[in-house]
Amino acid sequence: MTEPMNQDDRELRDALRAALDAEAAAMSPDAGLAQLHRRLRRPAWWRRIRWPSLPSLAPLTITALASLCLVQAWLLWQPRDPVDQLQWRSLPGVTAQPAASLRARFAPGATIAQMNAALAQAGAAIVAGPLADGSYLLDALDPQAALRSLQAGGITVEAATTPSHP
Amino acid sequence: MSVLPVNPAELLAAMASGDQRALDALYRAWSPRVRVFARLQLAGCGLDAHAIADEVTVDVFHDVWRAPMRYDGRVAFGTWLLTLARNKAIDQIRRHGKRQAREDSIDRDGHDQAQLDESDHDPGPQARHEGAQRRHGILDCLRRLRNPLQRESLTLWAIDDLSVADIAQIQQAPAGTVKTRLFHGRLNLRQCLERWLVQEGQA
Repeated sequence: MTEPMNQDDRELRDALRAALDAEAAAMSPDAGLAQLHRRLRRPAWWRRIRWPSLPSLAPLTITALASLCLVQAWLLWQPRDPVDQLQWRSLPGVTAQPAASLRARFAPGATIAQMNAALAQAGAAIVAGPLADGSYLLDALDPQAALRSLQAGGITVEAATTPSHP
Repeated sequence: MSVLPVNPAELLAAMASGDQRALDALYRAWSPRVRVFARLQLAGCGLDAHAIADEVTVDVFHDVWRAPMRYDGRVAFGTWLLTLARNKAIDQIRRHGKRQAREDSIDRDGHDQAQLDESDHDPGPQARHEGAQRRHGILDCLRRLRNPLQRESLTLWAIDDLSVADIAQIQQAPAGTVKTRLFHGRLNLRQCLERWLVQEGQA
């Protein structure tokens, strides 16, 4: 949008524009175009670096990889000191729990000492518990003998072998 | 061979897809105007204005080729292109350390008198027509404006019918400042022209 202007300004602008247009018209529109084309053809600096081509690199690459394989193989076949042998060690605190063979529920009034005595007499140990119903999962070398011992004891309300140990 | 569009936006889109003919078409259509503008920008800075203006012109279109979609259509294409040319010309002046005119005359609007150097003035022995002489005189006076920002404002005002807002956009200056530059630039240009006409015996 052009601003309103008086007659003198308009005449001056027209004269100036005519002079600029004449100057532009006197120029060849192709002037500098060849230079521009040359500049467009000039590759970027990273293209001007003479990178070796991939086929020429192939023998070198194959030789390097084969050498690496040979060195690795030689290292693997070296006799080792027994101290350096790989050893499996169990992690502290991570021990597999033995499978439960019995499930027992003790009388509500039974003391810890009474429970321990009954378990020792039965040759059993607590694996897990108390569960939601107040029972314990036990493990024993002889589940049937342990079951009988617990049932004979006075503090066991309920005892049974687990399904995997009928 | 397909016919190339003349719309700058279409040419830019073609350039974005790698069509170099679009660049050629754009260059042929716009480079004379860019070159004239650059020459006037570089006038009076002590450099070879013609040679550097050629370089600026090629630089501008090289940049356009590299990123044609930088033009987002928010301003007229001519405004955008002349802005690029202006920045390139300023870069060149800075690079050559010849900023005296632009730096020293921070808007001394109204205080500059365009002076015509008689010994340097050559309306051109080849100029056969009065109109051609007058055009030559106008451009000569424009180049001789001491304040480069006035010269730039007047050039933009005339070269492409740019509004004050467009010129303000290019110069990154308030519209009021541009109006002041235009006012004093016109005043100085008229005074220079009057002297020139007196010398030519046409007054």
